[in-house]
Amino acid sequence: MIEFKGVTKVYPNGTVALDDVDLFIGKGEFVFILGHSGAGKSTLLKLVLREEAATSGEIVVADYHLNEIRNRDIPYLRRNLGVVFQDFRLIPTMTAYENVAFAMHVTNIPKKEIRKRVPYILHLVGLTDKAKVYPTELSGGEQQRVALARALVHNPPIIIADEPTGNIDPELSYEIMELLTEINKLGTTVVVVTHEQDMVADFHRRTIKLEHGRIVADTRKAVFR
Amino acid sequence: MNSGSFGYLVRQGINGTWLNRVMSLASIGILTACLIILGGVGLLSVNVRDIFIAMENQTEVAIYIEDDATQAQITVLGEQIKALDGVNEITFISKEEGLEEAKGMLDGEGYLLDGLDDDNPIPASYRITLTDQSKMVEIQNAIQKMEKVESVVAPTSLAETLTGIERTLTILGGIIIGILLIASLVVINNTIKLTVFARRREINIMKYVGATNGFIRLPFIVEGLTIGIISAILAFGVLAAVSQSLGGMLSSSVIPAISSLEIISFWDVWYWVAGAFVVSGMLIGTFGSSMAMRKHLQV
Repeated sequence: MIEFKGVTKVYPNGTVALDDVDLFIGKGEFVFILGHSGAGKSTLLKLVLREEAATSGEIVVADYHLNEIRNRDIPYLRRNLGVVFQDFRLIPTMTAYENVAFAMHVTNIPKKEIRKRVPYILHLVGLTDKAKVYPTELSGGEQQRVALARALVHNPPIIIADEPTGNIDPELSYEIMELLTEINKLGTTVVVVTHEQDMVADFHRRTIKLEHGRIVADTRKAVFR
Repeated sequence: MNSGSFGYLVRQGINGTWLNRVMSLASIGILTACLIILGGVGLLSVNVRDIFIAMENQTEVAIYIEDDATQAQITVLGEQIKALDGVNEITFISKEEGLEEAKGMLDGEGYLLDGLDDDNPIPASYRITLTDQSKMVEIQNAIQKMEKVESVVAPTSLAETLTGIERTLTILGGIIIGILLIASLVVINNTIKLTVFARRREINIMKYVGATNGFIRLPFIVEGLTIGIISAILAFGVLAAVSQSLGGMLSSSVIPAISSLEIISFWDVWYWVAGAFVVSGMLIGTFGSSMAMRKHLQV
């Protein structure tokens, strides 16, 4: 699903964000990417989303070879990736329902299907009764779940959560992680980017540790399920 | 793109115009003003051109023929003149007709020339009008060299003045229109930039969930288009009202030179004006928003 071969990313100012990274995340895996800020997590994410191009090396995401992808194919690559951002990135002028539906509108899905799918996803993340509420009236955990619902709604094969527990209470983080686990059980590849050692320790999953742009540990043989 | 999401995007664009109404209003105002001036300059130049063409058609070149020319030579001369590039109409005035004409010019005193009927000093002539006044000198020189031509009388300085004024007006009008077009583009561009800025978060999210650039761009294009169309309608209304009252003033003027001018009425060309306004409003709106979008689509 996600493959890095000798990937290096050097920013124009000379910062080496990733240094010769090799990585393989298969279909249906649940992976933590652990590292302090500045370790290269965000860069890794940007490369997967093709927000940035690698300086050298090869990247394949959901069968797209990112080295040779055309600009107009990037949106289609991204439809394979559901991203939950640390700051949620919800649109304040839209209700929870509209925020989720928005992601479907944007990808040309017929209205009929949107009307069926959105309530189902909101139910899945336990927000049925908050559908008509605006993000500002929701708690952090609820906003997080709206963001998750939006990432899930078009049924992408890969879900990426960027610091999903960064902005919410510890018990809510646990809840979110449980939700991600459930989603993973349905066959979706889940990648959780985090700096929280504790959380990684609580969930015994494959963990890739980044330091100074290099992979320093990969518990490939870690306990699966 | 299916029709459902197209409708969604169009609604988004019209919403954007409303949410951003202060700036939209400002752009509509400026674009309307630009279009009015554009239309005004356009109508004025059409009218000026029309008056000029009327004046030019009245300017004649007279070719006087030597008295010893035979009928055959006169016919050949006529053929040669007609073959020249830029000659419009040609008429032959015989010696007798010339004399009648001269008598006519003397008003009531035509009898003074009565005695000349048997010894007519007026030469026969050809009178030609031109399709292109700027070729007058060239044509005059060409005819001068032809056989049996006594003299060529051409109002060359008048023609030069007229073509000069016409050229200046065309250039001036072009410059004014160019400046206005650029100004309108800049204004629309700015307005859309503001909307884009206000909605950069949304655009960013759209990019991440896999919206294509065309999809993201459409609401903003619709916004620019809406501004363009509203401005076109307003400008049309204002111009119609102004030319209506101005036309009335001109035709009721006490100065005969003004009231006798044949003005191309706004209502004779209204569909041209409306078409030009809608097309330029739409083009300016669309182009302005596309320019504004470019930077924000690179995520």
